[in-house]
Amino acid sequence: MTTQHGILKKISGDDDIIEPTPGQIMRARSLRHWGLMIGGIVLCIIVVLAILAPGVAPHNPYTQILSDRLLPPVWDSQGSMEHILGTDQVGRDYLSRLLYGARISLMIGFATVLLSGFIGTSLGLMAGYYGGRVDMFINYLITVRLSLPGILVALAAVQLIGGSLPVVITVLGFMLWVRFAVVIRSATMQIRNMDYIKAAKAAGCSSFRLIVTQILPNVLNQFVVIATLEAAHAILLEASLSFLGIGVQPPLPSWGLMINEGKDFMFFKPYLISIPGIALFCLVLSINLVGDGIRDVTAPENRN
Amino acid sequence: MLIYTLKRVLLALLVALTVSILTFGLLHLSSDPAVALAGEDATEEDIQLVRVQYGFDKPLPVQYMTWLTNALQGDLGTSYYFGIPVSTLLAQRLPVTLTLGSCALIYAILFAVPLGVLAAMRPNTWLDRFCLSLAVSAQAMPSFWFGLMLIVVFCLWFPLLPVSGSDTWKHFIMPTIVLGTNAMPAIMRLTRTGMMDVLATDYIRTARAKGLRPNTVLLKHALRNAVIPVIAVIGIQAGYMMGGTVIIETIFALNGMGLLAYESIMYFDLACMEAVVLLLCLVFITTTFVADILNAWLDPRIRIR
Amino acid sequence: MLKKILKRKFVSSALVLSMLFVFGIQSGHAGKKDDTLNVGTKTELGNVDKFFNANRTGMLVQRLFTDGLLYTDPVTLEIKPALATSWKWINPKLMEFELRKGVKFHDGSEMTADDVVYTLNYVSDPAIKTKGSYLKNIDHVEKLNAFKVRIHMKEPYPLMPNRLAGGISIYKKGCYDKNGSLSQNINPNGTGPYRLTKILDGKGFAFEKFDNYYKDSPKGQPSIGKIVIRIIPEINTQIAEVLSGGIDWIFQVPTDIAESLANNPRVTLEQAPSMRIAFLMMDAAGRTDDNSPFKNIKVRQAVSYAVNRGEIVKQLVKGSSKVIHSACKPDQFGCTEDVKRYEYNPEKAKQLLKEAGYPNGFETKLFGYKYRPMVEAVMNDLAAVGIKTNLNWGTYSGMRGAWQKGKVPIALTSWASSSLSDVDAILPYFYKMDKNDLSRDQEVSDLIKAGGSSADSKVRLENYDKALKLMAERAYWLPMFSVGMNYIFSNNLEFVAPNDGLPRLFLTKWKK
Repeated sequence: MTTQHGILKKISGDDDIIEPTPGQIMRARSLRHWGLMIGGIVLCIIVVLAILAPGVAPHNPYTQILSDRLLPPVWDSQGSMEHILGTDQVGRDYLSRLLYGARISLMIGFATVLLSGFIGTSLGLMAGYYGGRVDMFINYLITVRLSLPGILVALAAVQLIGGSLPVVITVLGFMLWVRFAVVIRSATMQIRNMDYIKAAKAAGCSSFRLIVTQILPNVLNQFVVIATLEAAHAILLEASLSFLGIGVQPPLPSWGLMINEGKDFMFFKPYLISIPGIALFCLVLSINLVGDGIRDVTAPENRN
Repeated sequence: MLIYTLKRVLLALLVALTVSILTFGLLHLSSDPAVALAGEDATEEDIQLVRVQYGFDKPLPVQYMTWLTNALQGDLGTSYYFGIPVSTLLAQRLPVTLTLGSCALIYAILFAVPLGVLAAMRPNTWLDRFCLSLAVSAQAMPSFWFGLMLIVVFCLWFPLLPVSGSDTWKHFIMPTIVLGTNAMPAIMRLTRTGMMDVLATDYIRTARAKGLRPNTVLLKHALRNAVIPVIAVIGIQAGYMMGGTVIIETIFALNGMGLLAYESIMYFDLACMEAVVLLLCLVFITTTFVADILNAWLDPRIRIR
Repeated sequence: MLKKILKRKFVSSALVLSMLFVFGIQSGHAGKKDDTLNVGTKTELGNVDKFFNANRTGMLVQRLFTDGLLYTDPVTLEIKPALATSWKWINPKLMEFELRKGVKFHDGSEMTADDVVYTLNYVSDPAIKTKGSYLKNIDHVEKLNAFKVRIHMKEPYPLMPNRLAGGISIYKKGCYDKNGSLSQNINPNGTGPYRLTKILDGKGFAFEKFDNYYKDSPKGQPSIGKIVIRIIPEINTQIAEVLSGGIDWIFQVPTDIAESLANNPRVTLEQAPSMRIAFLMMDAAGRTDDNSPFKNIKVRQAVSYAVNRGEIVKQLVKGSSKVIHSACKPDQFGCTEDVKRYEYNPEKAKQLLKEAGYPNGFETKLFGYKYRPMVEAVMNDLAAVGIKTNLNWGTYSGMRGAWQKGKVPIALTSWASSSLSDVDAILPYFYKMDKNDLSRDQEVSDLIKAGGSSADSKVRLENYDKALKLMAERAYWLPMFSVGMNYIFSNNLEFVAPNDGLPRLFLTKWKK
């Protein structure tokens, strides 16, 4: 007695040349793409550590012990396992702050890029697609934003609403959309006049549909590049804003803040700046690798 | 073309007006002008004195209109902090920034574009990964860290270059490297992405199939199309550089526009701030304009309307 | 990749500093060779004329190329005659000065009463945008003869001699006529120990020793031939310049850095006090909100008990800083530390909060603009007794604007008393029932006013004593610490560290 399933199995079993499903191809490609794998693993580790921070961190990241300030890390001759990465300038455990800081910095990086990417891409697509008056208007917005110093906007914001995490993300989002807009705009302009777009238009495709289904996928590559750039930018910028008053609320840690706090000790306690610096480097590298990888895997015709 | 240029000029004027109003408003929102000008240890009487002397006791629209009327007559006013005409001040600061900005831009393009092309030609090889790491380092590295590292290496370990100042060409080497490196990742990564997209298109395959020399294909056909988004971002990057960056000018004690803008905000130097912002405006308008023209020239399909 | 390796190397390497020592720095002490003192300072100066600027670099410059009628000794803080040989009060609104003969301006002309009369009358003119309201308190200056003048004041002002020994310079008659406030930038001409020879726009200033500087000057005779002041905004760059021998003298160095730097045998660290104090200010008058917890004296006292100032000073502020208990710098005239003291006692703080009706504490906003680590330590201490603070960090002007508008419940701020050694340079500005006054206590205000309007030092001391005791009793402020200054300079320099935080560069000498 053979079940239906068995029959199917039998039929496909001897058919060795059957094409795998697109999903299977993708999985196989992803697994073979070492850049994507390494990037993905590092990114996952950072995200998991950030999520598990309360369980993993050896100390409370907010507890200050002033008499234990600026303790050196464990590889220093005076370091100890108690504080593996040493302590900061008010005596908080540096490793714990690094782990908790990952949460804030990841959030700032991603949320900012989502916001600024959304603003910038929509504006860039519209400017590039419609051209003419719309382009002029968006050009106007871009130039106005570029000419206004970020510090000034930040200082005004802190006086008006004070500093907190949502404020930082909003301010950063409204500061960093320009590169998205400019790059997407010129990429769109290039695509707009291609034959297939003209054909789609002639076939009566609505502008909105055209932009979303035809143009957007084609500018995605540029989007990913700018997004990885701006994520790192946002994480670093948050610290400068914090020193102007609109960063995350102390005693919350963030990598950007840790980098900036370590700045004055650069010559004498270089680990204070290097540790969060290396963490940020790994994060940015993994985001880049993942971005490149996804691009390669999903656009196989581009692979040489 | 003439109409297009006219439109852009009109747009520029509109931008200038908006930006001057926004700057005025934001500056007033960001701090109390009289307190900022009077300094940290000013007494209440000192602050009141400044308030009356500079007319901060008048309603804001009146203050703005006074500035605007003068500006329209070509008088950008006198710097509150430096006491000299703003135009003189800008003339002092501009050369440093322009020198630094153009050196850094040339340095960035000279390195980033070839590296981006190389990476695109050999994707996923060690060369590509090397370029990526370079770009990532430049991205993740705070400018002040990089700048100070250069100082440690070239001034303390091997005393070859002066630490800070702007007197000779030697003073500009390290700032150029820092500022240029800062701009490189975007240019390099976009060149790489653009090149890879273009190299996979039919017409490049056709060109190759026709038996054209690889270099001809690469430079004449591919690069030309790949750099269009790159030029847009170089335009902005150029604007940033010509506007000066506070961090680099601070580290190398270069007295350029970035530092001036920062000081103007901190000391509530409204006249100076407005002038700096208007200048920035001009720079950005010019660079985006040039970028658009360049793009239209490179890709005739992009019509300028 | 390269950078990555560099970075890695950095963490584990024997660290930059040790490398500095290993490789050594050849150049070094470039200054002594060509008899030039190279000075680094953080802030840019808008105008070399102290009447038209308000910053610390300005004070450095002013004291080099100009003199005042009087001079404050940097160590004893005693007021000494300079361009004037003697002075006396005729009445609380009138002072008389005998001027010194034979004092030369840098252009070679002699200083006379005309110059004093001209300068002071010009800068006290309400229409001229000079900084400092005390200048406008000068009604007019009268010439009695070529070397005798009288200063007529609008209101009694016992601090006038201190001011004349501080920011008030004497310039040549007629100097402002042509270029107004810019005249000293275009044609600098003072009577000081150094001539201002060159202004490098935005970069710094160059000075040369003035050979005809008058004998018997309380400032002594200049020793080093040339002084160059360079503007270097970044502290790390300043350090690199000092280590590479490009700069011989810097100040305002954060204590942690200064102490690490002092391990280098080539530099000397000198720690000295300044007139600046830091304090927590509380909204005792309830200007932010009628229900503000700080209206309750028990809450303010709880805050005072909750903050561990001893530990903050010992671990964070360090240097020559000390915990202070009264709302003034202890060595200022009129200051007393014999007031109610609040030793660190978190249990008592919790108890007081409970009595005040806040058994679970409360939440409020804390304002700050500098001393970030100290602010975080204070927030931590307050949180430990149940007072949760959200930090409002910003610029000084932003914060002061907010407190004048009555939006500040509690703030960590500081005051330098214009470097004057008298409580009249601090108390009246914060307890005058005006918008700067967060406590609005009529009794305290009256006492301070009485202290400031008398020329009799006994009356003054009595009133200030009462006022300070009341202020501590009612816990309007929590005085935190006096702020020290760190001076870093080449070990071949002799430098007299001042007690008022105002460095006198003309006193520096090369070591023999």
